[in-house]
Amino acid sequence: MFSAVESLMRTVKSLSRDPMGFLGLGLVVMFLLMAMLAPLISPFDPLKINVQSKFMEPSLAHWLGTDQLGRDTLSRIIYGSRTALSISLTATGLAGICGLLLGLVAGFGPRWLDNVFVLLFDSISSLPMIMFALAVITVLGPGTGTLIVVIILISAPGYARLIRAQTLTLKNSDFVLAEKSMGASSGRIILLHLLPNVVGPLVIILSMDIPVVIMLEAGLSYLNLGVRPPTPSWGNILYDGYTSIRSSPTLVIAAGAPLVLATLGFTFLGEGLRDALDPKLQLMSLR
Amino acid sequence: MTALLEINGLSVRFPISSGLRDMFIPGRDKHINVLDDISLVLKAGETLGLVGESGSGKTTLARALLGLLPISAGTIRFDGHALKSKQSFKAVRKSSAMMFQDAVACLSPRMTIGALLIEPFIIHGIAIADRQAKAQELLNRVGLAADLANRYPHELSGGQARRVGVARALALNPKLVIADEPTAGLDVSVQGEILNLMTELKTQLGLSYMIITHNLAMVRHVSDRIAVMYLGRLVEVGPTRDVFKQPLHPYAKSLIASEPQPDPRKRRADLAIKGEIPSVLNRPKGCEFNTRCAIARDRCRNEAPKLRAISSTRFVSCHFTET
Repeated sequence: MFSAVESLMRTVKSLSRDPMGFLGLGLVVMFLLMAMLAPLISPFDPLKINVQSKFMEPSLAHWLGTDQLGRDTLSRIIYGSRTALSISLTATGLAGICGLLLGLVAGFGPRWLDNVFVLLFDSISSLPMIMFALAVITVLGPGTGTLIVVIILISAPGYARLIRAQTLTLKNSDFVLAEKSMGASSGRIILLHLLPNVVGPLVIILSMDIPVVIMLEAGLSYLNLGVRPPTPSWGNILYDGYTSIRSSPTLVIAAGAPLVLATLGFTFLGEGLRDALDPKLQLMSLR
Repeated sequence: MTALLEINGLSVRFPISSGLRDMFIPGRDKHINVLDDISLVLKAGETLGLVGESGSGKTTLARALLGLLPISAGTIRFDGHALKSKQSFKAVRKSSAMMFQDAVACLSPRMTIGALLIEPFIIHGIAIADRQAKAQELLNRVGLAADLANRYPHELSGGQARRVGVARALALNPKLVIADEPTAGLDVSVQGEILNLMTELKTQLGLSYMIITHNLAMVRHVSDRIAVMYLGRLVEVGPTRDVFKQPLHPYAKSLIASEPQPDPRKRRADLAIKGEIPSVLNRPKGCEFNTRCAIARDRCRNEAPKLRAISSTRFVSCHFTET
């Protein structure tokens, strides 16, 4: 446990030497705080409709103005970060776990099982992402749960393939053979010896995929296929703004900016993490 | 002395990956015999040296003995139990242990040395009261400092890692330890230390060793008997002293003659073998060694010799041992 804390400290320290990574960390922390403290920091109820004050320009009361129903945009953006982060973190987390388990089993298990899994992974990844998402949504109906299922189905095969490839290289390594020769069970080898050695790259990939998922959530919500109104999501705020872009462009800008910042933040953080955790890649980028 | 390990006619075959065409033509699935008809007995309390050049199947034999590779023919009996199914292998894993060639690579990289030393007990469900104390006891046994328990494998030197390997192999007080190149990658003084440690522990714990190596000087020093392998077959088995003094198989002769002599004035017969070891993919017809043998005759090119007893202790597989 001590060494885990220590290595986390070391990671943060080496991140701080990388300005972009540090910026990313700052942005991510900002959005996390925003999401967690949403009820405390948002000035209004994000769902409160006030038709009299619709399409207001930014003012001292409404810093980012109001939308077509007179709801406070700033509050909706703050609550939107909750939607974006909770969906993207849950979905990538679950997808990561699914990918990890499937990849370990495919890599370490018998040959036929591996073939079955690889066929499955390949057929899912061969489908166009948006088309596949639309198909799943048509079957399950739009909503937050469906969105998470879609994201898991789309991204887990990629993670599984990454883990499988690493498991295959470790499967015949000396330390796994040594464990086998001592009589260790397959479960023990997978969980105690393979998992800790394959999980590192996955964490990096996951953190770099979070922005993609945030964009996907926003995109599907924009198309009214993701988070259902009136729950605020950056995507459906963008949609609201798009319909009134000529009269009041504030809405589009207000919803677009956090989307861009969150995407950049997670991307920078992911790249920073990759450089901090994988010294070999760092060397390559120096050359 | 009773037999601890009895190998009878052991063969290990690997399938050669066949192309799409081969899949549809029956009888075309190809195999290579990596180990062919190995028969060997290891007595309790003895040290057997297994020698041969790279690619002769020494490591494969060790892995097959521990059930890490599927056996295609033959039987293994360990301590009275026949090793056939996975279950039977599991039972003997408690009383046999393997030391791998690469001492660092065979330690799981994300585990501390302490955790690695305790592992055998956990795997076999043996309750130990104080894990830390047990780890330190094992470290002490192989002459390592107790604080090494908190280190990770990559932080160890080659000699330390090797000692950890010894400690781990001996954790459950096994009857047989198979050591694959126990001195590989160590400098000479550390080699000596490891060998002395292994010999010491052998007398203390009453172990038997099977030492796999191509270091002839070491084998001569530590083993009671040696078995010489060539291309997946045993060519000569006998007491170390006798085999070194008068090797019978032409391959063993060349092998032993190739051992460096410390005395430069001592001339040695030029018995150097020419050429490379043939590939198991394309075994020579007849005797395996006939392509490189100085005394090969027609019979050698057509008929493969069997391992036969020359005396009560010596075995050789050559048609013309007299010459």
